[in-house]
Formats: sequence, structure tokens, C-alpha cells
Amino acid sequence: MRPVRPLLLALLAGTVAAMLASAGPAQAAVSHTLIQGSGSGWSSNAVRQWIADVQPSGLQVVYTASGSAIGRKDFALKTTDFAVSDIGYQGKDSATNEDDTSLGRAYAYLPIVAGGTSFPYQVKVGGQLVRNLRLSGTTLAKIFTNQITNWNDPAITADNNGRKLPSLTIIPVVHSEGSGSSAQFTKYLDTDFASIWRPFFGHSGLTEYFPRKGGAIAQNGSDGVMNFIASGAANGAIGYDEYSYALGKNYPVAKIENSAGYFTLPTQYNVAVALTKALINTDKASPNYLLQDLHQVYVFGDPRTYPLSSYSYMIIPTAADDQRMTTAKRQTLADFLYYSICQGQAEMGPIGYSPLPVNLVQASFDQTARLKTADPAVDLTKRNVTTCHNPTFVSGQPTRNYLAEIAPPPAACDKVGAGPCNGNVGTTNGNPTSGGKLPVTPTTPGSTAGPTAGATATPSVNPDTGQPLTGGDGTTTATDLVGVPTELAADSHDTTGVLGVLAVIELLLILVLPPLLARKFFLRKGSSS
Amino acid sequence: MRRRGVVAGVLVLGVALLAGPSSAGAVGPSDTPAFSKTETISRAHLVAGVSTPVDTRTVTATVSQTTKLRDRQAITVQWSGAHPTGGLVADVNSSAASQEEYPVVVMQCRGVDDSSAPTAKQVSPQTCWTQTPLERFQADYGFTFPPYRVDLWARPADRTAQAGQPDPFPSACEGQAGSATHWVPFVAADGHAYYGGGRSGCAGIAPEASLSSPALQPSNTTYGVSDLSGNGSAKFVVQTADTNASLGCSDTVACSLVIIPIMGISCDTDAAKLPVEDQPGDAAADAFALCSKTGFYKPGDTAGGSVDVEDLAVAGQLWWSESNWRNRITVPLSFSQSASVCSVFNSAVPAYVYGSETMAQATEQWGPHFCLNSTLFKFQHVQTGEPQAKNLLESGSIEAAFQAGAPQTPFTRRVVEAPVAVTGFVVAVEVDDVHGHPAATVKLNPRLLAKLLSESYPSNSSMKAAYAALGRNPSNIAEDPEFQALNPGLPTSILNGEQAASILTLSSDSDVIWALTSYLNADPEARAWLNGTPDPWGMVVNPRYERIVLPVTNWPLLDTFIPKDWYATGTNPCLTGKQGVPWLPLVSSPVSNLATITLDMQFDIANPLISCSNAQLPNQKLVAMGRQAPGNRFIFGITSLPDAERYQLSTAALQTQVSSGAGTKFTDSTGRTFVAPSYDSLKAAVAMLKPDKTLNTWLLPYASMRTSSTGAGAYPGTLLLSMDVAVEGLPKADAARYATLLRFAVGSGQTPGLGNGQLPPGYLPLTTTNGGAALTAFSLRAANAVANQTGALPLVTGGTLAPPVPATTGGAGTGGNGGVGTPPPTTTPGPPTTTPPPTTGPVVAGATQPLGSTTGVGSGAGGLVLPLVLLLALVGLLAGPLTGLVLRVRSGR
Repeated sequence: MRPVRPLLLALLAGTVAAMLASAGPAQAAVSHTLIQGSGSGWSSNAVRQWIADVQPSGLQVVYTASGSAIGRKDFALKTTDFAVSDIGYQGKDSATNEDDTSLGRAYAYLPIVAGGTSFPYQVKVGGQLVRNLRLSGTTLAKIFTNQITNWNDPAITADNNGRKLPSLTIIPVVHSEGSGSSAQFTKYLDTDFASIWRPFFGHSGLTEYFPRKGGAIAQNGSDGVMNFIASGAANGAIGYDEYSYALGKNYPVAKIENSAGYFTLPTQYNVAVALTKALINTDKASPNYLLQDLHQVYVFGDPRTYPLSSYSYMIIPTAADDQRMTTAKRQTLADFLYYSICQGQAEMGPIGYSPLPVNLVQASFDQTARLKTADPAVDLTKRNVTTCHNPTFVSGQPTRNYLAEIAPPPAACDKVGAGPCNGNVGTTNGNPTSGGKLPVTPTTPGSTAGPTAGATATPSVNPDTGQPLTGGDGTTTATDLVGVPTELAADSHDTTGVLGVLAVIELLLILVLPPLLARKFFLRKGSSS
Repeated sequence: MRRRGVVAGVLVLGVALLAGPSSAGAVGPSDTPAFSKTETISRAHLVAGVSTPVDTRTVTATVSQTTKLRDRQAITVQWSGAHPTGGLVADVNSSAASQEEYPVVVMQCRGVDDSSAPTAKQVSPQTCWTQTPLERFQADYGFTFPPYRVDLWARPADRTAQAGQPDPFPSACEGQAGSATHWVPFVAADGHAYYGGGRSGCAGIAPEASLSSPALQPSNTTYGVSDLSGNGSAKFVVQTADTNASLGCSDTVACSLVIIPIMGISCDTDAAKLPVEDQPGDAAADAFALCSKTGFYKPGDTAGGSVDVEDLAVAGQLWWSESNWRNRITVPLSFSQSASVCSVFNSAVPAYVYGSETMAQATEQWGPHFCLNSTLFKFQHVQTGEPQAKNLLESGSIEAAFQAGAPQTPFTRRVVEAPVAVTGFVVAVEVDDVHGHPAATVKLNPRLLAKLLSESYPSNSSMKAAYAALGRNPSNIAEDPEFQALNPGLPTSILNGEQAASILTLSSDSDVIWALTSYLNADPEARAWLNGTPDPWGMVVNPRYERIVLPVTNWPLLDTFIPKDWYATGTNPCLTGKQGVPWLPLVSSPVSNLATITLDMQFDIANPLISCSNAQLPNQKLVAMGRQAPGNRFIFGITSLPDAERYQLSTAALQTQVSSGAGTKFTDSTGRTFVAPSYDSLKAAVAMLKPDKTLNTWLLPYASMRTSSTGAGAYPGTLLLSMDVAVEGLPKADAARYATLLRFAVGSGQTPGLGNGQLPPGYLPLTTTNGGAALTAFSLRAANAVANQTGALPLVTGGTLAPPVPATTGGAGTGGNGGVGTPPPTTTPGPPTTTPPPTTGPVVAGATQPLGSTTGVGSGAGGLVLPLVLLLALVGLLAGPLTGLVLRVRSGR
């Protein structure tokens, strides 16, 4: 039952001419006008970029990241032209018991981007920020339900292969606004750690209003959460939000254990692999058409999986008599969506998201078509998934996800019982294609690649001695702490000398690590076949 | 019955508003007003056939820019000679503001004010935009002859009981009409008339309109406030059809700015020439009493409560009534060609440049130059923090990045940093003086900026009492004697002044923060204060910031003090009983991008997250303080000069040098030099740029700027923007495009102007006159090096670093030593030529039934391909020395 595929193939076959025609600049007078939306902070860094991208095309879009719950409410009250939400309408919110419906406004969901809910944290050892923390799902669940309250807890020590953190109170940081990231996280807890989550929550299910209890801190919005976690009062804090926020701040996030026993980061590759297990509702008659069921994502056994991966959705009005909508608004919405889910996907990886795979892009195209159903004057010609330059695409093979195929395996030191790796291993997040033309295989684990491995990150050197803390295989050799700390930005001085040494060490790592990795990998393959 | 909108509580407005705001206009083409006009206007009642003058005024209005306007651009409107305004409300763009008495109404209308033009192309109240239907509808349920029915100048048709009523009458509007009603439909560009019909919008509203304000974006219709002297100003955000299709202004559809100084209705209660049913007759005395009223509020008074008390005859609500409308000053506006020029269907692969938001205004104008030229290519600027882009570039994840400063250590790859623009960060200020006018100039020195950044103002009296370490510090910058000495005439204390205790800045990593903190760090007074030496008045640094090492790319929030006793008092329910949340970081509440700061400053939104929303509910949360009332604003924010130019933000002059009195108390700015951002001050900074051998770029010498004669006039917030591109390892085609982009950027891209491909205000054109010759010459060399991709690196000190020893790779043949785009042989262009096992996309399955689960990277020979590909990629990185490894791996297979 895959209604999408034949459609797609037909489309691929018939659109060469359209492709050629669409290469030129601005065509006929399609009228555009300002559209306004509100909702998810989780995906707002993506939406904000697309809004900037389409401005030269005359598309005016205003977006307010007030949280998914407010976004759905604004849409229901018809104060916006679209909403962005990480979950669908819930009927009733289980925490606030408020109605959560569209109040009769006809709508459709469509996925707009994928990403990982990450866990930024501040743990300082000797004044230095730990950057390579690893946590299992169970530990994560216990931390956010106040069962594990100190960083020296044996469970955390075990997650980190015996490296013990000093005694430091854990400060869980949760969102105070109705947030899609709270919903994604609590859905994961409710699905995989029900025995821990439900007694804490009081009942089953997800919630967008994370119940703040005990020593936890609630902060408003993604900026508020990140500001608090990184603040002076927050040594010991751990929160949750989309990966892009931590990347923009060069702040560490915990590696989370997947079902294969590897601790991974929400890179665009690991998210793409994980979401190959997302169950998408394909019942077009269902009010939840295209919404996601992630329970198989959480437990996917591929070692390259990041378990807390998910899609974010746009909600668009579909009624012909929708009082807020006009032809110009529908056209603007359709063109904005077209750009976002097509070309706009290519730039998502480096900024901390993961592009939609082709079948969902096509499904979203189909949803956009409902704007034309509502208003035949809307022009939807020249829409073609093959022109999207989406890094997940393999030409002519819509069921494949190139990103997931080429996703690098995790480093050996990221495995349960090994490591831990130093802070920049496994952070690779660049695009596999350069300029959309030449696929460049992602650099392997252990290289200096990756957004968190910048000039200020000095993960493999003791800041006092300038000597490496790591063994040749990327494994930390320090025995008294998990982390290979790096300096806080605020503490950094001119470290040119140290960094010079570092560069040499990193080069050495590049030289030494791969053969070792390769050997392990081949050995494993050999024994399993 | 007149209805008063909800007017926000008791506002603490001084006598509001406004004389000349100092915008950053010195860096744009709009230094002198583009439009100025003086009109003598009067109010005179007709009593027993005799005209009886009540009030005559000579009003002058100026407008900063009237041509080549861009969508959502701000222009400054100033006036003098108007009747002072009373009954003030906080938000002059709200429908509630229409109830002010004697406002100056500023609105955007379609059409020209030329009686010789076709009627359809003339301005009229029906073509003037209001955000809400309330602002164009009047209904009186008790009295049949409200002031607009006895308006001397009104056409007879407008003096009927049900003037302008839609026909047929919409059934949804039953009950909306009063004993007297007046409708002013809005006629859209497509001819459709939206009658609105009061608060309910029962007769239909334009899709861009809303039933209540504020919408997500404030309206541009302004009920401007005149001070006691009759002066005022407003920043007006013009809209083209891109934003407001119903209004429909464009380069081909003429529009006007209409300025209506409300004088009050000129009354004619005899109505001698009208049909008898439109004559007040017995009600004439009552009608005259209402119509001739001169204001319930004293000028400058704040509107109170939610009761209708204002005098309708002089309220902004009757802007459309002929007595007011005829006093209008009409300003013709013309617009740039719409930016709607790049097709969203351009399927070409863009040349991506990631990085600096400070380039955004330039790249928005440069983009169309590329998309419109079929011999060029599409160019896409992905906005990220500069350090993030640097990391991506360093790791080979991206090919090019805009930077606003050198990386802190040189790139380990061969990357050239080619200058493409000069601009600056600015301290945007929205500060009103003791008279409620926007302060003409605000001067800041590094120590004051350090105070705002370092959470050293306790922000209110509760904190001051609770926090011993800061107990002797002024609560906010307004109370700081150092600020007062530099800025006489500003309020020395403000109520609810938390927003003046901090400066809105970035939470993400940014070169802007690096430049800002470099400037602070170079200043001995600021540095000594940060190191713990109290300022001459005794203010100390927050101990958490003492000895902070600067510069940094990310300003940390370090304060940890939790005023538990104060929280326990319940003043703020969101904090009562909560543990662990320090107060001052909430006051700082930085945000993750400059665009948000710009927006907040444009609309005077104070960002401290200290207001408790949904107080007693499970979803309670702390939210931003919100919009500040005109006349009572006191907020600061860091943003870019091009943003300040586009949105007409006022900017602070920054201290460059101290010639006398350093380290001691001062009572005025004598002995201190302050420089505002301008072409001249950017030019002076460019003259001081020093080539740096290690980083291979130019740096601002912050230390010598403090002492040299050129430095005195050099803007200390200057930023040199570069485009950084690898000179080896890029695919040839990509390299050629980046080279083209660079040549354009330092060539025709430096032509100042608002057109496609031009350099917008806020950037100093890199001409020889402006001292940009060395920079552009280097960028042209850089463009060649990028195009050639030989690895040869041009040096800013002259000469070229020779290409590295050529490396041999496993056959890819593109050379290089680890740059991006050195594909190992098995992953040459296009989809993988090898056939890894199909990994499915998300499993598209029935709602409950999983299908097509992946086989993963498991079995068979295919499974080997992945590790192989990875290894080969590595080989690509390592090149020559490890070529042997490839062979070994292959034979192993």
C-alpha cells in the first residue's frame, strides 16, 4: 500500500520539459501577498532561513516562534494563515485539559523538515566544560523524572564506560511554553520508558507542557532554555531542544544510546537513518494523514540511528471558503511551501536539521495541491521533485534515501562498553554534495569535521599542559572524568600556541584512527557473515 | 454609541513625543528630508450663517524618503505646528489609538492627490488603509446628530443618518447600524469594497486586515502624538503589494502618504441647505455642544480606563470626516521595482554562501542581480552565526562563508578571506528624553556597554535591596551618573525600568560579539572596571563577571543570584515558589539572531522575560515585557548598521578617545570623543585597517584607534566583511562561480543604491576614495586564486603562498590535500555508481501496518561498500602518503 510511488514515477517521467522550462527567471504574473504564521520553536531556525531565502522572490512571510501549542491555537482562531507544529491536534491536552482542535477550520498536515531533539547540557569539571557526555534512554528518563539527581550517579558512570563525574546536582531544564520539543521528548518517554514516565506524569501519553517538579527549571522558548542552560547558575543543567540551537551556540549535547548500543548525535545522517523507520500515516481519509508514528524509530537497530528523531509539520488551511485566505495568499503559501520542501531542504543539514526524503517531499507536494482544490486560480505548475537537489535523493529511485545510505557508522569508542570518544567524534554534519553536484563522502569519524569542532574546541588537549588526553584511537585516556573539557568561550584567551599543537594532534588522529576503525569494522562483518 | 477599545491600564506617559529622532541616516541617501510642506489649517464653526474661527494652525510636515521605497521599509515623518495631543495610548498603531484627541493621523493610501487624475486613481478615505474595520466605522445608538453628521464640509450624502451603508445590507450586520451610522468602505486595488462594519467585521474585511490589533505585525496606520509645542514624529513602515495586495502599491500603482493633523470638526448645526431629515432642528443645541467640544483630556494626558470619555469631535476616529480630511498633507510615494524577481521555480543549483547576518541586506539586493542574468547563476545566502559557518568551512561541510571578522586561529585549510563589504554593528537606541521626545543623540562609552552587558545593574529596587553585591549600583542605566553626564536631558529615573538595565544582544556565537568585546577590552576604563575597580561614582561590576577574559564570540550569562525572599512575596507568580532561576539573566534574555533584535527595536519591544503570563494556570510562563509606550521608551539593542538604516533605528554614538579626565568623575562629555556610524567614520576606520600576516586578513587595531588622530573619527563598531572560500579542492564549476561572485561583490556590487545588484545603505562602498582600493585589489587576486584552485594563496602582505606539494590521490585527479570536493573514485558525480543495498525512506505504510522495513547495512558484498566508501573518503583527505592503504584495502576485499 504505497500510493505515493506510482504517482511519483509518473511525475518523474513526464516532467523533463517542465524542468527545462522552469530554469528561467520570473514567469507570469502570479499575485503574492503577505502570509503570517506561528508555532514551533523546534523548527523555527529552518523556517526563518526559508523566509529569508524567498524574499528576493517576492514572497513575504512572517513567522512567530511562539511554540507549537500556540501555533495550533492561533490557526484554530483564524488569526494566522498557517501553523507549524511538531505534533497534530490532540483533541485535548492531557496536562492542561484545554481543547486542542482546529475549531472546525479545515486543514491539512504536511511534513516540512526532520531533525533531532537534542540534550544540551552544562557540566563543568575543574572549570572546564565537559563535551562528550553519553546517556542511555533509561538514564535520560530518570534524569527528567527526578530519579537521578546527581551527575555522579552510577547509571551515568556506567553510560560513560566507567568514567565518573564529580558530585554535582542535576538541574533538568524544561520548556514552560506549550512546546513541540516537550511533546517529542515525552512521547519517547511514554513509549519506551512508560514505567518511569507514567508514575511521574500521573497518566499515560505525551504532553506539550512538561510537568516541572522538584529541582527542575522551566524556561520560555528555545532561546530561554538555551540561555539558562549556558548561564552561570546552571552548572549541572541539562535541557532539550532541536539540535540547531546548540550548534548555533557551539554548545555540547549528550550522545544518546540507540538500540544497537551506540551513543550518537542528531547529525543529519543519523536522523535520516532513524527516520527510515518512521511509520507515516498514508490513509488520505484520516485526519492524521502524513503524521508520524515513531515507535520503531526509537528502537531501530541500525548503529547509525539517533533515537529522538522526528518530523515537524506545517498546518495549512484547505477550505474553499476559509475567511482568511485569498488566491494571492494561497499562491504565496504554495510557493513558500514549494521552496521550503524542495530546494530549501538542501541547506538544512549544516544548520542542524535533516532533509526530508523524496517520498515525503512528494507527499507534501500532494498536500499543497489541496490549496488549488480550494481555489482553482492557484497556479501549481512547474513543481517537480527532481529539481529539488535534495541530498537524500537518488535519481529515479524515490524509495531510497541517499543520506541514510551513506551515513557514516559510529566510531568504535561510541559503543557501549568502549570509549568514551573525545568531544568531536561523530559530529559530521556537512552535506554529502558540494554545491549539489559532486557527492563528497562525509569525512569519517575521528576527523576534525563537524560544526562543533571549531577553532575554539580543544577537545583532545589538556589545557594546562598542551598534551593530548586521548589515545590514538580517539578514546579518552583520562581516568577521573567523562569529559574532555574545553574552555568556555568566556574563559578563552589567546590560545594560538595551543591550537597550533592541536592541529598537529588532530592530523595525527586522522592518520592513525581510520585503519584501526576499518579493522574493527571488517572484523565484525567477517564474523557475522 | 461610541466604543472605547481596551486601552492598556494606566500608562506612565510623560508628555509624549517627539522631535527629530537621530536615525543612522548619515550612511544612506536620505540625509535631508525628501519632502517638506507647510499648510495653514483651521477649524471654524458656521453659526447663524457666519463663520466663527476656533483654531488656526500652520503645520509643517517632512518625510525622510519618498522614492524608491522598498516593501516594509521605514520612513520618518516629522511635523510641527499641530494641535497638542491628549488621551494618549501606548501603541500608536493600534485601533485604540484612534481615540486619541488631536492626533496627527498618518496613513498609506492608494492613488494620487490630483483632481485632474481619473477618479479611480485619486486618493480618498476609501483607498486609505486601516488595519481594523473599527477605524472606518461609526455608529451612534443614542443620538441622531453626532459630530460627523453636522460636519460643515461634509458632502450632503455623508450627512445622512445611514451614510455609506452597503447595498444590499449584509444580514450579518443586523443590529450594527445605529440611529446614526457612517461607513467608510476600504476599496481594494482589485475594486472590491470591504465595508467592515465595526468591531465584528460583519460586512467583510480585506484579507490583510484584522478585527483587532495588534496582528502579528503592527499596523502602519499611525495616530501620531504631538507634544505640548505641537511637534511630533513617527516611523512609518510602508507596504507594497508584496505585503498588502489589497492596498496594492507598487512601482506601477501610485500611492500616497496622507498626513492628517486632526483639528476637530467644523460644525454646521443649522444644516440650512440639507433636506429636512438631515437637519438637527430641535436637537441643534445638543448637536452643537457635542460637535464643538475641544477635548476631554489635557494635552499630554494619558487615556484612562475603558470608558468612552473622549470628545469624538476632536478624536482620530473621524480622520475621514471632511473637516479633517480636507486638512491633509499628501505626500506622493513611489516604489522600487518589486523584489519579486527571482523565480522560486529556478531549479538551478545555487551557489551557497553561509554565514554572517550582517550581509543580509546586501545579499537581498545582490541576489536578483544573479537570478535575473541568464549567464550567471543563483546565489543563496544561508544565514548562520559566523563562527558556526567558519567551523563548517573548516571541516569542508560548506564551500564559502561570509564572515565579519577573522577566525581566532588561521584556517587549517587553504582558505582565502576576501573582503566584500564594510559595515558596522550598532547600538540601536529607542530612548525618550524628559519631554518624551526621542533623544537626539545618545552617547555610550565602553564602560557603559560593559555595565549593560555584565548584569551589573540590579534592575529594580527589590533586587537592589536583596543583592548585596550590587546594592550600591544604580538600578538601571538611566540612574547611572556616568550615563547622565554624557546624556543630559534624559530621564534620571524610570518606572518599571528593567528594560534599561540590560542591552538586547545575541545568545548565539557571533563575530559581532567578538568585535563588540574587542572594543570594550581595548578601553582602559572599561577593562579596569571589569577587573573590579569601581567606576568613579562607586558602581562595581557584577562579581560573576570580574576579570572576564575578552574578546569572546559569545557573551555569557554568568549571574547566579536568586532573590528568594523577593520571589516568596508573590509579586511575580511565575517565580513564586520556584527555585533556581536567577533574575538578572531573565532581564538580559539574549536572542539567537540579529533579525529578532532589529524587529524588537523597530517596534520598541522590551525583551526581558519577566512578565508572568497565564499566572495561575499549568501553562504559566514568563514572557517579554513587550511594547514600550512612546514618550517612555528606554531600550538598547545590538544590531547591524544596514538593518538600522533600513528600519530607521536610532543609533548611539560610541566613544573613540579620551583626551582628558580618564579614570576620574566627569559631568559632561568634555575631553571625550564620540562617533556615530557614518560614511566618514567608517572610512576613517578603513584607513586604520592593518594587514595581519598570521590570519591573512585585515584587522582593526582597537588599541591604536584610541590614540591616533585618525582613530578619533573612526567608528569603533566597524566590521570588515569577507567572503571566505577555499583555494583548492573545490569542483571547478563551483570555484568559477565563487570567483564570479567575488568579482561582482567588489565591482559593480559596490555601487550604492536601492536597486537590484546595488549596495544598500549601511555599507561603505569600497571605492578608492573610501580607501577600499587595497581591499578590492586583494579580493580580485583572491577571485583568481579561487578560480584556479591550485592551492596558491594570495597574501595580504603581498605575494602568494605557493601551492602545497601536489598530492596524488586514488585517481580522482582533482588534486588538493583534503579540501572539500575531492571525491574518492567510488563516489564520482551523480548518484552513487555503486549499489548499496536499498535503504528505504520513511516507511510509507498504512496507518498501522509497517511495510518495507529496511535491510539495513547488513548483508552481502553490498554491505562492504559503505565502509569502503568511507575509507576511500578518508584517503581523499589524506592523499598521497596513504595511497598504499587503498590498495591494501582493495586487495583485502
